[in-house]
Amino acid sequence: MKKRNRLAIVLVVIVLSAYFLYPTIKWYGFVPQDVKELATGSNVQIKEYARGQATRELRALKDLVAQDVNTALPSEYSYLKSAAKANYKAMRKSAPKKWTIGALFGGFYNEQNMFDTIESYYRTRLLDLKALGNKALQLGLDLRGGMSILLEADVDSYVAKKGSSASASEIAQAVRQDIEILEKRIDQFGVSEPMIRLQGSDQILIEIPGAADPERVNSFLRGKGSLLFKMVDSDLSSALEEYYLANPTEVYTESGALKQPEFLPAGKLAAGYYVSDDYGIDELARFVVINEEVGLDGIHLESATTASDPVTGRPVVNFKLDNLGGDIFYKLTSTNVGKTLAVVMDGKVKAMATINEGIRSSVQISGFTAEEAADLAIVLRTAALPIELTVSSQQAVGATLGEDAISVGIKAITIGFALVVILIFAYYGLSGLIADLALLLNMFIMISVLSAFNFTVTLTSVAGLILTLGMAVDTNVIIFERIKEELRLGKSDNASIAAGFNKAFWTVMDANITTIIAALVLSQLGSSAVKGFANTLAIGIVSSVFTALFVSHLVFDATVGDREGKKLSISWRKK
Amino acid sequence: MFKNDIPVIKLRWVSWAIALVLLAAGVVSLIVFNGFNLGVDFESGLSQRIQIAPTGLEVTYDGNLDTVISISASALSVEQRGEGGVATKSLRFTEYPTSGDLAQALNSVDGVSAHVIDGSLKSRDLLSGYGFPATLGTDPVGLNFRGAGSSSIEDVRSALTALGNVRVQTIGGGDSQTYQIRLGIKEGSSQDSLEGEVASALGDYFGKDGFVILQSDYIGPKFSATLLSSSILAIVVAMVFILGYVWIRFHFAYAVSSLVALAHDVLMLLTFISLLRLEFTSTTIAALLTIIGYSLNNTIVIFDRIRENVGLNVNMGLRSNIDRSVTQSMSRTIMSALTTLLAILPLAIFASGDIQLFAINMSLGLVFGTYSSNLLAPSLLYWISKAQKSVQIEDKAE
Repeated sequence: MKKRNRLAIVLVVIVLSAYFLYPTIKWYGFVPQDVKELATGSNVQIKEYARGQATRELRALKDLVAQDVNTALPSEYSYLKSAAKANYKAMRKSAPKKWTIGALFGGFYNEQNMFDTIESYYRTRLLDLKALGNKALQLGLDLRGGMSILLEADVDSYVAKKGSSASASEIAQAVRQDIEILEKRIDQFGVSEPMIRLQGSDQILIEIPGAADPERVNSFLRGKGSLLFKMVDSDLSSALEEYYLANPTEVYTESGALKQPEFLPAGKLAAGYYVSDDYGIDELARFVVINEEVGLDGIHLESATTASDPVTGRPVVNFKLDNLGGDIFYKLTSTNVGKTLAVVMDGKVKAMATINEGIRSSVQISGFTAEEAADLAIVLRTAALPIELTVSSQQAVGATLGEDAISVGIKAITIGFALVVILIFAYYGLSGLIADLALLLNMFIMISVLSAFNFTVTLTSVAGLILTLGMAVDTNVIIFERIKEELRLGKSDNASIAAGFNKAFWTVMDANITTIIAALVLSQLGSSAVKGFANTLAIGIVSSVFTALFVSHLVFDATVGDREGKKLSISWRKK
Repeated sequence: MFKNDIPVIKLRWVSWAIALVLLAAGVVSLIVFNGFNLGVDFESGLSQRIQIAPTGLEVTYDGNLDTVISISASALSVEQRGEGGVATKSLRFTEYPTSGDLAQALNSVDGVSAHVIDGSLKSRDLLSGYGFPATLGTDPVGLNFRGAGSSSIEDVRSALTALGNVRVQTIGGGDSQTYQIRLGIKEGSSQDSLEGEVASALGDYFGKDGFVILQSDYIGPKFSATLLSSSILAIVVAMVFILGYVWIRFHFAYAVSSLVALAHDVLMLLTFISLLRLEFTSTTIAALLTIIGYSLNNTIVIFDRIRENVGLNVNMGLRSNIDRSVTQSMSRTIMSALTTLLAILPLAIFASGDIQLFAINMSLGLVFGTYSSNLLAPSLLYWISKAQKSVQIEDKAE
């Protein structure tokens, strides 16, 4: 291959690697720890954080404007300038030359507009960071701490409950429903988002980064008993809507929680009515006032299904209550005919329905789209999973151990790398530096490929990385030894280098292809821990062959080609 | 590099004898020890790493919010979730250097109270293990700090005697107070019940919060069975593919010789794992396969040289050609083994648990792989080629 082509390929690889490595470097190197923690939270948490932040900043800005309209705009709020400028333009006014607090307020239609702008600024920033974090090198649970649980469908108890045998497809269906329900519970989990995945046909793998608390996991699996039926106070609800509309800073507390206004009498609570948006995140639709007193607890629910109304064809949700629940519900509904009942999950109103008559055990709610109905059915079902799950295996690593593992890994890589680099330089002289350069590039390419393909780096992949470090030099060693032999035969530097690379080519290929066979088999058939190692090894082999055959060769040609007459430094011996 | 060629073929009886004697020792040790020291992933059960550590604070919460306490390397944070919102308070260790300082700050959080047991412990020694991030309630949650204690492996053993056959190992130096405990699964026990038994046994001995579970692995019976079969399958499949490749690229004699050499490496590593009573885990499988790859790499480089030399020096005889090829490859063999060893040794020294085990296995395997590639595989190639009668002419020339 022509030198120019080789150079071009090497440059393309380096640029691509840098491109894929960029998110990793930015995420681990330049994002502060607390921001990272916020950005790895669930979308709901991010939303709550943004709301709290907006409440706080709007309040601070209002204080500032009340003190003195002509104060210069503090730099921490300068992000609002661009939105204000756009508003000035829309209002057909010219943007102010000097940005004072007053000028900033002039750039917004009302407080709500300003609140929304601040909220969206914080939300977008965190969501962007979250996307960045997802593109960065992913650390496995053994390095960042966390839990991984493999759950298996308890077919025996399912069959016993059902009373007849269950087909494989029926079990698979029930397991899929389990997953759906578990995903609905993610928001309750807090701290970090669990990953839930179907494995095989009857197993569910749950990975929870950062949390190694079995109690929380158990409550996640069981579902919290926080599904409640409560009555809605319609008069106070409309008063609340008006009040919030008039006072946007009074809607949320600084932590992003709904602020309970003072005019509400005791026993009444302000709550948000949420509907799932396109991304499956609960979107606040409006505010309602509900009774603090619980109408009916969700533990009395026995089943919930969706159907369509035989007359109107509209989707409905049917649910059944147990005997005790039926009694309570009958009392509740018969005394509240004409009023509105709310389904409240984790303090959020998920559905509302008007009571037409006293109902005992079989309840039907109507008045939403098919998707909303399906959603509500899942919410109502969260009390019980269709098929019970048992723990097949569980790994939990505390955060301290994970941090220790990272520091040990980095230490081992650094020392190992330094030792190898020194040995190669000592043995091969200046040519050794070329091998060292190839090795450095090799590490660079490996890590960037790992992040590009979104491989999760575990402790075993670190072992793979370190091992590859040692083995990657080998390709260079084979070539160098060959070049030395050619030199001993009395050939010129250039001829020796050319012959060395030529003769070593198939040796290098044979040796590495056989190793990569072992690595590929391992990555297909090994257990998950072993897979991480095998992937790293396979990537390492390919990139080490590339760096040796392309990069080293290129550097040799570039440095030796035009300095004929000087001795090639490829040995520690003086000749 | 070498003045005279290494007499590989002359030494063939000696080298094979050494290998066979060692392998026989392995078989004997397997019989004596009654099998391998199987790790938890092959033998279902519970494996936990615990650290005996003094409790500095006990934290309780009285209120309606969902209050969670979590510990990172640089800070302790308390997160409170109520109806619709979250509030987080982060206490950096640089600002609150001791457990006493932390207690004061924690007490200022609504509903949280911290009871100081030892206020002089350093915040950065805080341990975050199994059970963290912890949900606070009226039952106190203990915060443990890494500290010099006087417990020994005997203490841990006697704490767990009631549970029957429990294996205990010290991790790191003695003053790290860290132990790995392993117990098999019992009839009718589940992950919950096993964990509960261990926790209460340790709690009785070291005090309810006197220890931290750094890591907890539970492997159910079904899971470990599939792991073993898939691992054996992986090794066999890899060997078959490699045999196929070498057969195509070289000759049958080369393929068989390299495969026998590989079998030697695998068996030899197993021998030492048995002799040294090293734990056999899924990372051992990874080490075995890596050694297969590595040793094969070595063998192929040498075979490649033999093939080249046989073609170049037709009248030199296979015996001298093999000797010369091994010798010519020797500096590469040494350099390659040395760099790999240098890279892997820091891991064997600094790491612990599975990864340290992997590094030790790899280092051992490197030695066996180098031995077999240079001595066993070439001499086997010589025997097979001779048996194939394809070396008659060369022999005459000798």
